[in-house]
Amino acid sequence: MKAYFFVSASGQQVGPVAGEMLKEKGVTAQTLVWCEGMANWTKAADVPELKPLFRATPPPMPNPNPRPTPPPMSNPNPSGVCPDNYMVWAILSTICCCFPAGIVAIIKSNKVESLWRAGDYTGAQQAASDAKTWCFISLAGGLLASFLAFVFGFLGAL
Amino acid sequence: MLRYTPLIKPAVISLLLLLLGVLYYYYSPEDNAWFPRCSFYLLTGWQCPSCGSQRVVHALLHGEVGQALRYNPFMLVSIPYAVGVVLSTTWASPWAKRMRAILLHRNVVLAYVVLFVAWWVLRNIL
Repeated sequence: MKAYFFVSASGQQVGPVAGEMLKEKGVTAQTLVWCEGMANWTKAADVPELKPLFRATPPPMPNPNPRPTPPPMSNPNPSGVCPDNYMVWAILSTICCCFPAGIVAIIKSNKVESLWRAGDYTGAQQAASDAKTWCFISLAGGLLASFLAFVFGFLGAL
Repeated sequence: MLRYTPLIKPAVISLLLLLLGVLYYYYSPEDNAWFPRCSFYLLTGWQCPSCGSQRVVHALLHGEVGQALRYNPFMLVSIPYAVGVVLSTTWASPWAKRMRAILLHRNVVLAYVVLFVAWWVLRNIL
């Protein structure tokens, strides 16, 4: 740092003093200072080289011990509503379609609410989507098989 | 408008059930080839737990309980159960809500599944 002259509280010109020492000599942000190369006396806070000395708040401390961030939630619960368990479809497809897929759907469907109550939201959603899939397999399979049976029965009758 | 819409779905489904009832009253599944056949029976030669259900509906609608029992006694459980499940889940009245809580209770559903599977095995070995 350059050497500065400054105006003391009593109005006296003091200096030259090394920039680093100014604060110890009682220079504040409002004190007028001057050094070689400057046109006029200037408030210390307005001199670029001296600015850091008068900064009002310290710069943010590097955080040596950052607060641990919580691990990503394994069970996001975006909606807050228990997913539909498709139980009605599971029961109807079991009764009407005569294939074991409907029973799988019922079992999956039955799990949804208990998993949800246990806080396993991902598991509940998975079970709900499995139940839906098995209902679809059961209904589609049943309809397709009935249709084929009808067609072959019809052909056989010819 | 919004006040009517909750009624449309249950009304339509109830009407469909009624129409099915009319259909099964006037047409006998035994005499008409266009009724769906059980694909499980056609594929395996074993009866499924619901085989005979259409004949049972036809018989019951004509008051022939004995005949219905001969076709498939388990349908006296299945049909009321299925109709109850459909109606109680489509209507929104407090009464329907109570019925739904009973019919879709996990223990009731599991009991039904156990009976369903037991009947499946029994009717094919008896």
